[in-house]
Amino acid sequence: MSCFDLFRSSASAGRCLRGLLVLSGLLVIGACQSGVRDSDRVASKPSDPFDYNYCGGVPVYPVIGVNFSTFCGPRNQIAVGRYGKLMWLFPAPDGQHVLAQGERQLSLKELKRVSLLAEVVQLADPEPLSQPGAVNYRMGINFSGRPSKRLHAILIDAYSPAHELFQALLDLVPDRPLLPGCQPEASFFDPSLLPGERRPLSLSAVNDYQRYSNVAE
Amino acid sequence: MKLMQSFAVSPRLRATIKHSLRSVAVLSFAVVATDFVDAAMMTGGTAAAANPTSAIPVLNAASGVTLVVVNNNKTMHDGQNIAFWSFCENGMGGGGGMGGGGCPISGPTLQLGVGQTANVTLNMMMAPQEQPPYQGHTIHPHGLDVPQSEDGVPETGAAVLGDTYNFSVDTRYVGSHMYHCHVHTVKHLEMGLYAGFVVKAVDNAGNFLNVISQNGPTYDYEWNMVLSTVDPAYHNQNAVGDSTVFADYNPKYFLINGNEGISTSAPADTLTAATGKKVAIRLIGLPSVNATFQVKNASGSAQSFVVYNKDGYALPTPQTVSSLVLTPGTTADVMVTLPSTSSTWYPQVTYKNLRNAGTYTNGTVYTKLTF
Repeated sequence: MSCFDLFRSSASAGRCLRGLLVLSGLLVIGACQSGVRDSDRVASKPSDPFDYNYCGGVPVYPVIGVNFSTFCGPRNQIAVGRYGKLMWLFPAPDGQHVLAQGERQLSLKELKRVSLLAEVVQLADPEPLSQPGAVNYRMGINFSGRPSKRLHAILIDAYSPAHELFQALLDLVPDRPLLPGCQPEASFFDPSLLPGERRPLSLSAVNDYQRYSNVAE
Repeated sequence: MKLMQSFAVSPRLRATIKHSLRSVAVLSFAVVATDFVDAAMMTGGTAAAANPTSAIPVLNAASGVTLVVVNNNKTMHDGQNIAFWSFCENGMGGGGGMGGGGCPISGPTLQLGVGQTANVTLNMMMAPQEQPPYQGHTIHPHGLDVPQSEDGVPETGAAVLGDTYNFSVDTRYVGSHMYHCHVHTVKHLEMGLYAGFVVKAVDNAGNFLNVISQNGPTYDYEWNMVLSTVDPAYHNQNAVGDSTVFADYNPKYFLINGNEGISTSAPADTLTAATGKKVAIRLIGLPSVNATFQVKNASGSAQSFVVYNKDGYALPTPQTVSSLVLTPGTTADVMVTLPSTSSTWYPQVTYKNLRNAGTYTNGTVYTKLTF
């Protein structure tokens, strides 16, 4: 029996209409739900594999920070912001005046390379610290929605994922930092501190910094 | 009296001279007070004849302000020493390194006239800071609608290694706001990187007017109160970001203008005013603040006051109340009118547990208003 047949009976017509309304309502809700899901999928799909999040439709990139120096040298800083802005601050020898400071928006091509290198650092094991060197650096990476990665490393002439990223960032900065030689030279120190505040660190203290890697925010 | 006795005058004439002398004295006092107010207005300062004892600097944001971030520390009433970071005017104990050099825990209050352009630079050369990737600091003018490039939010592109902030606001914003660092905000706010930001109405010449809102009444004294709390677990500078400490918040110390004020005899801040005058109190509550503001007299009775602005916006109708709740990250501008007889009142803030509104030990912070 179809609904049209039921309409011939007024008593049944009301029930049929209610049934149609309920059914059409369910169909509308279902259509809307599937429509929302489809549109969400389309709208939120990253245009490139390194956009881990969309904030209001704007692609975002990993936040990257590096502080680096020699034991007696000024505290140099490089940072990449969530929207892909590269920033640098290189102090003069006195540490109180600017030697070079600037910022620029990285190109998509540059951001893809930096993001890829950061991804490798994020997944890599902690940097080995057995070999001493003059330049200490502390690096932090945060991909949106993922645990932060932190490491303390000594810049040496050998491959490591962190060195590769650090060198890539240095290459993107048009200015050069001061990295003076120091006597005595300390193997491990915190380059985030100002020169007057620095003191030699033990290996365990360096590892203490790395301990905070992969702690969910 | 000696002067009058030296003249042979009638009692009636003597009474007239006495009255005239009183009038001259009153008049000369009024002239001095008016001159002071005018001078304060011309320099962009406040109308208060006696500044609050907390001595937080008040700077005109349009005149070219350079701020730095400094290490600071404070010994609390129980002897515990707490490390802070503070915004500080460059050259006023700034320059980084250890010790705030006398800079208060709460940074300088910035004032900006309607239609004027803020010109505030944050110098990062010597700033103490968190480890990467959360190194650096910014200035975020909380509550002011400014261009995205000037709002100090790193997540939307703000520079974190030093920047200059230029923006202006219109008459809607006359009232109290705040500014704070927006890098890893939970940590940096708790470390002390916050301060008041007050938008002022101006006259045709650009001088600040002492009105509480664009079309509101005038006041005679202005008292900024920055409310904040301290959970010592957050203040360990050796603990880099993302620590599990951020999972909970248990404040132990409660501040107004960077000071504890655990009793009326040891107030966090003090203002001395003249009787019969109007005192504008700007309550600026940081995000950890859940509190009730009251003004009590010496016998503990709550006095009424008028609320004119909330979050820097004028209320359609001012509200006369004797108690005001401040929720996290909000501001309120209130006015108290002092009686004609001398006394002491105690404006006070009672902080409450953010989760359950329960009370805290030493959770009431007292200030002192003498008139």
